[in-house]
Amino acid sequence: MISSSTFHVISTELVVGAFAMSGLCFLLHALCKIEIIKNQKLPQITDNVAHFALLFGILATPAAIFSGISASPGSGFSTPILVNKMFLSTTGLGLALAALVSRWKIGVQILEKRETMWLQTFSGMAASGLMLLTASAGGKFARGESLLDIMSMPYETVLLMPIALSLVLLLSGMVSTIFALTKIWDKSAIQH
Amino acid sequence: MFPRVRVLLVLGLLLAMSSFTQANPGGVGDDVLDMQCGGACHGDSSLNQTSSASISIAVEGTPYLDQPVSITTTVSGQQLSYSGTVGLFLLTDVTGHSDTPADADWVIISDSNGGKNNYLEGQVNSRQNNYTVSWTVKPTQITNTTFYISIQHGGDDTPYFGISQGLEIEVLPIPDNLPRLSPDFTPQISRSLGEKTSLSIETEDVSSISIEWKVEGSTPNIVAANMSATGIWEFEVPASNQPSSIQWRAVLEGQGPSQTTPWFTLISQESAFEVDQTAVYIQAFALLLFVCGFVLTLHIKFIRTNDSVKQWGQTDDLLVDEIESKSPPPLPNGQLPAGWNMEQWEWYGHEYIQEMEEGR
Repeated sequence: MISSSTFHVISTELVVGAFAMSGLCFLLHALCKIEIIKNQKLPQITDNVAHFALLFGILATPAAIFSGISASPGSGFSTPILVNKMFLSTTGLGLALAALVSRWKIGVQILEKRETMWLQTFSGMAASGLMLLTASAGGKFARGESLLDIMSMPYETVLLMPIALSLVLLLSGMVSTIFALTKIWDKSAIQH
Repeated sequence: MFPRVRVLLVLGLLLAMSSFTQANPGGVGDDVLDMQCGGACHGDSSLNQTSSASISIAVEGTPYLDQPVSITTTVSGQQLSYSGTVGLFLLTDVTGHSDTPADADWVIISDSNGGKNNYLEGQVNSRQNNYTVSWTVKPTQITNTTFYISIQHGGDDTPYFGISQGLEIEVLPIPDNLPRLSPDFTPQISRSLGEKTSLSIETEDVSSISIEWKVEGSTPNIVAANMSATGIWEFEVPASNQPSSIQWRAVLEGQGPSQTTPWFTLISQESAFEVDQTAVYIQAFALLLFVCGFVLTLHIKFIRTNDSVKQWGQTDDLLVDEIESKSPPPLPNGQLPAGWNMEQWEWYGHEYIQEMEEGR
């Protein structure tokens, strides 16, 4: 039996590795699409790797979040850094889920059209960036320093909304997600 | 054959490296733990070596029922200089489980790190190679208990473990008229920085109290406590502007023989961060769903826009697109290029043909 802190280290390493690879592949894919990199097969390879790595990262993220809460001292959110880690990781998870569902249900055409390709690239890279930022905050919490300290991130400041506002955001998020998923599923069904 | 050898080599290397990572060099933090702490302190207890550290243990105060006594331990030895961090357990058994003071009907009122834990971590004094901690505990049953101190530390890439001789304590019934602390008394163990603090003591059979308090390394100050209600006394300790600890004890006077309590520790630290956990969880989940829904909605919008432009604005382009999308280019030499499948060819075949033509 391993402790929560050890399990958290294992799961976060999986998350960070998967998201870092995914983010890099999204970047390379975009560079291919705008023909900065001219390679015939790279778009297909980076498309596949980016989304499979994203899937792997998404699967590992809940384990990382819950083991992190369990491993943290005291009640779970004993410092502002831990609260910010929660917000960063769930936002990254939301972006990653959107990117993966879009690619899965809409298909490869999402990477053929200019607007959706850029939106997909932005979603994937932002998800990766947020996960790396979460890991950096973890380093700051555990060791007091992080590579991203050069960016002077305000980890000690928590932007906590009133519960009512959060509920409004939650409701609008649920409605828009369900609406969009229904449309995407319908479109996917027609295409097939 | 060669790839298998490489796989075996990698596995062998990983297994060999595991012996270097059996401990938590930075410690795991103070906690209430059994001696074998489930691998939390040292990853695998079977790899522990016997520590050569010297462990002394002493009790201060008379162990009356429901009255606190102080148990102090000092560990020392050259071996401790390898690793600055030392973990010490206060135990009532050496079986490895059900061995905390609570398991023997003792309550930890405070520890020298400012908590209520039986496992404490700290840094060895580098000049003297020793480390001292104390616990203030009180018995809740008339019983005989043997206390042990267990040590865990690292050094030379090896986890070390040691255990002290037992210290037997016999709990006595309270004599008549003994000036004493109330059984319900729980000392304050922490406060925020910059706060002048008024401490309250609940007593029984006490007519007057004097308080001794000291900052670590200084001489004690003596102040009188004022009775605020029957059996309740109060005194003030000065504010602290930086994280530090004050130790205090009370000398209780009454009809019976005067009693001196053990030293209690009051830690001054920055105000603890407090947050409504429900609000955090709701906001986190809201952020997840909101960004997910936002991105998906944008995708829908962009796809719809492109579809409508194709349907109503650019009929010629649409026809070209449809023709291109429905009819993949002819296969070069009648077969797919190496590494391609038909679906890839349908989507990317035009680019392949175009690049081949450009290459010529």
